[in-house]
Amino acid sequence: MRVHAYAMSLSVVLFASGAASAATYDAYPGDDLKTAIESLFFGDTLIVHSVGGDGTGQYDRFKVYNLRGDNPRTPEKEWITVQAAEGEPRPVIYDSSYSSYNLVEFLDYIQYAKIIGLEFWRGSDSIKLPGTSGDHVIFEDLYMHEIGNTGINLSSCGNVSFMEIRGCEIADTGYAGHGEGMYLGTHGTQGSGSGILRDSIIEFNYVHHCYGSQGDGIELKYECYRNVVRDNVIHDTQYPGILSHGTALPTAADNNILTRNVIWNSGDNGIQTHQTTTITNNVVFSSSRCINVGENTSNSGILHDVYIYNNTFYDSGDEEGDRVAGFYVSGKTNIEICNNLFYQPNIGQPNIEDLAVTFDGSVGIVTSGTMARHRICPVDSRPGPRRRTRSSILPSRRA
Amino acid sequence: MTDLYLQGGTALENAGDNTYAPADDFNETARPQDGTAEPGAYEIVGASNPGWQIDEEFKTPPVLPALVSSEPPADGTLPKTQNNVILLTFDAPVTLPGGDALVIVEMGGGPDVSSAFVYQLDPNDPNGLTLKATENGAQLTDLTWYQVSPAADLAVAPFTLDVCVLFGDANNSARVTAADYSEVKARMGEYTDARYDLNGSGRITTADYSTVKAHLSDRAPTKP
Repeated sequence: MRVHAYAMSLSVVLFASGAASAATYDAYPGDDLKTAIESLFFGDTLIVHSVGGDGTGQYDRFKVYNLRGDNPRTPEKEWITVQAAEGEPRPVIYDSSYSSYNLVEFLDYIQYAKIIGLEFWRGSDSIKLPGTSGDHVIFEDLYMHEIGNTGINLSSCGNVSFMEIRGCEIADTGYAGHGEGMYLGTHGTQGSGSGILRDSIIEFNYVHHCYGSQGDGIELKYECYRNVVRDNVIHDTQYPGILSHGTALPTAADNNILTRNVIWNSGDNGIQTHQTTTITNNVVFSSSRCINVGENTSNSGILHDVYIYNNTFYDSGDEEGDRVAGFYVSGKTNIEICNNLFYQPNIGQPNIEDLAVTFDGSVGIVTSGTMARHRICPVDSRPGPRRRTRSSILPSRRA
Repeated sequence: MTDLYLQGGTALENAGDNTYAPADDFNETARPQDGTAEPGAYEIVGASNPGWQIDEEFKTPPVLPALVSSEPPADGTLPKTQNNVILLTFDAPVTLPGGDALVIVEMGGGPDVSSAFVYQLDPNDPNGLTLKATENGAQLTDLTWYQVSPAADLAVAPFTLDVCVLFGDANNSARVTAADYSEVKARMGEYTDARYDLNGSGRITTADYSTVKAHLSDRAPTKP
C-alpha cells in the first residue's frame, strides 16, 4: 500500500476542503485493495496494476463497504472507477479455495461505481452483493474463470437498479456450488419488496461452461423487472442459457427483454421463462430444448404477457421425440408467438408440425422446414416445463 | 460455426408478419427489408450474413456505415431558392428507414424541417453508398443555418453536418459574388439538380443568373 497510503491522506484533505476535483491513484500486486477502494471519493479513479509490487500480479480477496461515487453536493454524478492498468496483463483477484470465500463482496451500498478490466480466478463467487443495495453500477470487461460457485451473484442482494454488466467473460463455473454465470435477483424474498434487480442492462457478455449443481448462464430471478439482456453469447450450460422468471408485475410495460442473444449447447432449455418476458431476435440451437415457456407457480406466479417474436430455434440435438420448443401456455393471457423459425433437422418433413414444436393445444403452425407464425391461446393438460441435464451433449469438463 | 442466416431463394423470404416484427434484427439491420419481414432472427440483406458470425467469442456490435463526404461539405451552403439537394456518402451501403432518414433542424432553436425533404438512395450511385435528401419545393429560409444528423432509424454512425442556406452561392464560397455568374455560365443548358441550378428548375438557364443578381453581396451569417 505504498502508493495508496498517500492516496488516502490526499483524499481526506480533498474532502475536508470541499474540493470537487477527482484524483487518480495506483495499486500494485500485494497491496490491500479493500483499503485502496474504500478510501476513494466521488470522481476518483484507482488504476490496478499487475506489474510491479510483490511480482505476483495478484491481489487477495476483499470486501468493500459502502462504495458511493455520487457527490451529493453537485448536480453531476461523479463515478468512482476501479480499473485495470492499460497495456499490462489483467490484475488477478485470487483465492485458492472454491468454496470458502467470495473474491469480492460489495457490502451495505454501492452507487456510481465502475469496475473495469479485472480478472477473477477461483474463489466461491467472483463478485457478490450480499444483502447489498445499489444503483448505477457498471461491471465491464471483467474475466471470471474457474469459479467455485457463481460469476456475478446477487442471490441475496437488496434492491439494485441501473446496473450495467457489459463485455464480461464468465467461464467454468460450479466447482463447488450452483454454478450460475450470473445470478441476478433473489428468490426467497418474494413479496418483501427486496432482492430486486431493475432497469439494468446485461449486454455483450460471453458466458460459457456453467456447471455445478445447477449451472444457468444468466438467471434473472422473479420480481426483477425492466431489465434488458442483449447481445450475449452463452454456450455449454447445464441449466438454461437464459432463465427469466418474470417480473410479478401486471403489464408488459415492465417486462424483461431478452434480445439478440446467441445460445447453444444448453443441457436444459436455451431460453426459459415463466411470465412477463419479451423475447426477440435470439438465435438458439443445439440445446435440449431451445425454448420453453410454462407456468411455475412455486417460483414465479401466474404465467402471462410473454411475447416471442422473430427468433431462430434450431435443432434440439436430442433423441427422437424431443422438441425444439415447448409452450405450455393454454388459457393464459397475452401470449404471442410470432415470426419465429423452428427447425429440427433430423425429423422428416411430414412430421415436422407434430414433432418440432410442442404446443399444448391446436395452433396453426405454418411450416416449411420449419416456420411458425401465429398467436396461440388454446387448451392444456400437459405438465409444466422440466429442468434436467443431459450429459451426452456436454463436453467433458476442462482439460 | 453454425450459420443460421437464411439462404438465398428460401421460401421463408418475406414470409413473416410485419405486425409483430421488431424494428430491427439480430444484426440490428432495419426490418422489414423489401416490404415484408422474414421470420426468424435474421432479415435478409444479401447473399450471406452481413453481421457477426456465430463463434466461441464475444458478439461484436455491427460496424455502422460512416459518413465520408457530403455535398455541400461541412459548413457549406445550400444555394438554391427551392429543391436544394443534400448528398451524404458513406463508406458502406446504407438502408433507408421507413420514415425520415435525417433530422434537419434550424440551428439556434428553430423548427425541425426533416419532413420538408424527400429521401432516397442516390440513383447515380450504383453502390448504394449515397443518401440523397431533396428539399420538397421552397421550404428553407435564406441566410439561415441548419444542422443535419441521422434519424434514429437510419443505421449509420452518428454525425452532424451544419449547412447554411445562401441563395445564389453557386460556388460554395459563403458569399454571393460575380464568380457565381461564371459557375452558372459554364454549365448553361445542362439538365441537372446540382447546386448551379439556382432556381431549382432542373435546368441551368439564364433565369439562374437572376438568382445571383437578386442576392449579390449576400454572405453566410455567423453560425449560431
